[in-house]
Amino acid sequence: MRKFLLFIIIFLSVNKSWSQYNQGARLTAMGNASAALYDIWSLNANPAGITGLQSPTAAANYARYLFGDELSEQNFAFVLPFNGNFAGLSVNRYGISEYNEIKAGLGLAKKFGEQLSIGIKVNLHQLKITNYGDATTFSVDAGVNYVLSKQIGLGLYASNPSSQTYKSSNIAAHIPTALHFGATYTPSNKVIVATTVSKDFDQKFDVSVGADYRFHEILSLRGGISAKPFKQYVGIGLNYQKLILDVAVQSHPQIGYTPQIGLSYAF
Amino acid sequence: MRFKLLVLFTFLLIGFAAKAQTQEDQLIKDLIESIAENLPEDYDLSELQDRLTYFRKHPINLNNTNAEELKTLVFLSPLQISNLFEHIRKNGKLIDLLELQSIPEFDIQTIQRLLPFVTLEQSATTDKITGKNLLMYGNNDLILRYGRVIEKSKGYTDLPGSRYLGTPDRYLFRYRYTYSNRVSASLVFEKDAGEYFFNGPKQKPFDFLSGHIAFLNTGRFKKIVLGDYTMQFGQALTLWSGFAFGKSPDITGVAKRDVGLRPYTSANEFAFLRGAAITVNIAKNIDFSPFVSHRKLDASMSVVNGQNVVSTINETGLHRTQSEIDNKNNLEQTVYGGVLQYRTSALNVGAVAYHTSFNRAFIPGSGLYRIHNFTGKELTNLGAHYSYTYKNFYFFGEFGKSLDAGLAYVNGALVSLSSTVSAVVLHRNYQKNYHNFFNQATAEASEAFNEKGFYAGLNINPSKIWSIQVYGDYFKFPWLRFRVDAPSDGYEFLGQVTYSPTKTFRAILRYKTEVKQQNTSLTVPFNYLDEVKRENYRAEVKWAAGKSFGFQNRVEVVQFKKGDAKAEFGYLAYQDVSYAPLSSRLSGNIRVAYFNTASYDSRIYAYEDDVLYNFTFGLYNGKGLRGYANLKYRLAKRVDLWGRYALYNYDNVETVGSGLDEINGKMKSEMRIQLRYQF
Repeated sequence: MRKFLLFIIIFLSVNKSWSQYNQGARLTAMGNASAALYDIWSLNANPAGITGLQSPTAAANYARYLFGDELSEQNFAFVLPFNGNFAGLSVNRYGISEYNEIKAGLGLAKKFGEQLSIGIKVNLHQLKITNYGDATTFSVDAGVNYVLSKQIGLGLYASNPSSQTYKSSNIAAHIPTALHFGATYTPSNKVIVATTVSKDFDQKFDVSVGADYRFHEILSLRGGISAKPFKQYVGIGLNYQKLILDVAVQSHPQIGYTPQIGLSYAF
Repeated sequence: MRFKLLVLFTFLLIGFAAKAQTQEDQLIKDLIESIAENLPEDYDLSELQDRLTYFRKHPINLNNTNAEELKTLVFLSPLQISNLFEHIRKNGKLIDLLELQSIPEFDIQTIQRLLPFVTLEQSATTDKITGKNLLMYGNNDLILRYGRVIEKSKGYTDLPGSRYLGTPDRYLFRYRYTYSNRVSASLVFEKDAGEYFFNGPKQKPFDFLSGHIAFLNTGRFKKIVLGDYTMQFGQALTLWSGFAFGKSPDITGVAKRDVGLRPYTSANEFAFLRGAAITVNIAKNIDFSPFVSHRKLDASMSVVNGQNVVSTINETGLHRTQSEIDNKNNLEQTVYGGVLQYRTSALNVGAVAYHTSFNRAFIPGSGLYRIHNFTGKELTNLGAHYSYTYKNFYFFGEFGKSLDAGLAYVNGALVSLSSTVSAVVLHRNYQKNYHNFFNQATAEASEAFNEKGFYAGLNINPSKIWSIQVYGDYFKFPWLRFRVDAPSDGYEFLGQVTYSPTKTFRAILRYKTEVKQQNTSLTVPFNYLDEVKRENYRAEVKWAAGKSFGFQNRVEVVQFKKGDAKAEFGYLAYQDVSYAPLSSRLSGNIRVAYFNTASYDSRIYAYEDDVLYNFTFGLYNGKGLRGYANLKYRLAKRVDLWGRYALYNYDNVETVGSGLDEINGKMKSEMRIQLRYQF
């Protein structure tokens, strides 16, 4: 019975709310309003966002779905800046032992002056269901970030614009195709307010709003909401020298709370 | 044809006589509209209007005030108030009001709103209480109001059963006396439409009578009130009578502005206490407010085991039919208790304890959803509240406990993230058996029990020109509710953008969505819950032409969808014109509105201008035209006269209204005149 419920949740997540891979604890705490934000986990959102990094950075993230005993997601990312170019790698796993989704991606981003950056990412998707079968496919994400002024930034990215699907005939899981447009407002060096409007081709518009407030040199408070479905997010971040620890909790009306923790290190 | 006539009439009015809404009225109107978003249509905000009008005439001296007084200006956020005192503490008294701009959190809009109500000048008037001073320097404010619906409704015909026993006239008499900030008194009589005017059953001589005498700032005794009063403390969870704002485009509204003990001067027949109360300073920074109240309430009764017991309390204050008159005053409520407050400029802590008793017992209401409601005759409530300002954080909260019943708590924070961004978060948890008769805490439901929720909002003012507000609220009802036969949840989201490039132009776009659950409309053996979604889209512009003319247009669309049924829509569009020449005795305003809503579910509310102190939220339901005209004429220096005529003209209907209010034909019109004499 529990397994059955888990499957329902997995499909609910995959097909509806969980249309993207985890964007790390910082972006999640900001309601995934990430289209115009810069973060290592932009790799799983707008790949142009990795151009904000100053030095090679590695990050790991772990999310736990409290609904099920073992439903979780693990993510790993690494970004290497070189001569105004940025190369990134991310590996994500989601599921339980009997159901596994893996998405691995290679991203490349470039800064064109101080204002414009462009990123592209190629993903390999693999889905494995024990005693049932498995399937593999690939997809492409691409995005742009533009610094409009000191205070306002814009971002636009498309996930899977070519509408790739799993080729296997017995697996209906689909890879969402969506367009995301976002803006950030940075009134001071302590505050970022971000918003993103997303249109998944099979879903209604989703709007998210989030804020990051670095109220102390090493501590940040974050919060966010997203509209469809209505989710609330809170989180804190701890920046200590080269080490960053982020914690986020997402609240979903059906799935309940999903806590996650992320760690990143800048070399 | 009729429409053309109306338009013609409109223009005639403008050119000929109309309008003048003074600036202060406009300001108060804007304010009320922005904070009173979710109020029911019959809510009485005259008390607020009264306060603001009073401060307009007697501005608060910012160098000699306290947090409690500033909180009565509901648009100041607690953080702003705290920052103001911090500024004065650090830099000494304010020398110029321009200094306000240098205080953190004081944005242009706030300052513009604040300026009419404050001053830096010590008022010269003496404030010693002597017979001579009371006579010489006292302010008297007398209001007489008459109004009625012009068409005769069914309730006034010779019906065999229930009918309205009185006349359709409405009367209000209100007298208010204030002397400096030392003495205040009031007397209010009211007769609602359908009630007996004079010496009817259970009334002597008028249907509603209210009054008070208050002495303020007398040594240790900060406030002494005899008669009718309200008590507003903490986050409105334990002890709060009268109105309280909640979720609204003013996102900081969820942090309550408690103003403590106040005399009651409104004509609302329910929301007050009656007896005596004082606030006395018992030690440095410590105030104690004991109070006692005894009053009669309207309640419907039933008989159980030969005993009269209470099924519900009626809050409408209407006594028009025989059964309403029978229910009138048949429950006696006695409340006594006290509030202890410790206050410094940063920290505020309070404790509340009081006991409520009734002369008749409450029984559990019919319906499973009411099973946790209050029963019996006696109730004791305890509560503790706090607020604390630390740098740019303002923390606030309250815990309430009803003895032998439930617990409730609410906690929140208001944070000024930068000079242009502020955020609010609020968490609440009110148990299903939290019993309290004076509870107005922030909640989705009209009463704060059986609810958990989390609210978060952002207020962004990137420049003078732009202003953005966003909030989201998720709520859960752990127990059943009226028309909801299972635990349920829902959420609400609001986004608003204001663009005001010049002083005389303002545009607002607003989107609001709310999703809740409700019993299905289908007939099934067991009700299941359907999702009910309500979305509002609003666009509004306001501009001025010349010095005398003001215009406002609004378009609002409501979408309502329940379960699998098709979505239905409601539309409202209106044009307001106001005319207020600077030196003229005459001013006025008009509205012409077109509305078309598929049903009551997609109804739309909009604030309407009215005579001073009367507060109207128009209900736009059905299909037709709505128009009104208000006129104000200054008869003499101290005498003002208002007139109002308003009408609904529905399309394709044979009757308007329902039940006893049903009117034959397709028109419903109403007139009101008011005289104010200040001496």
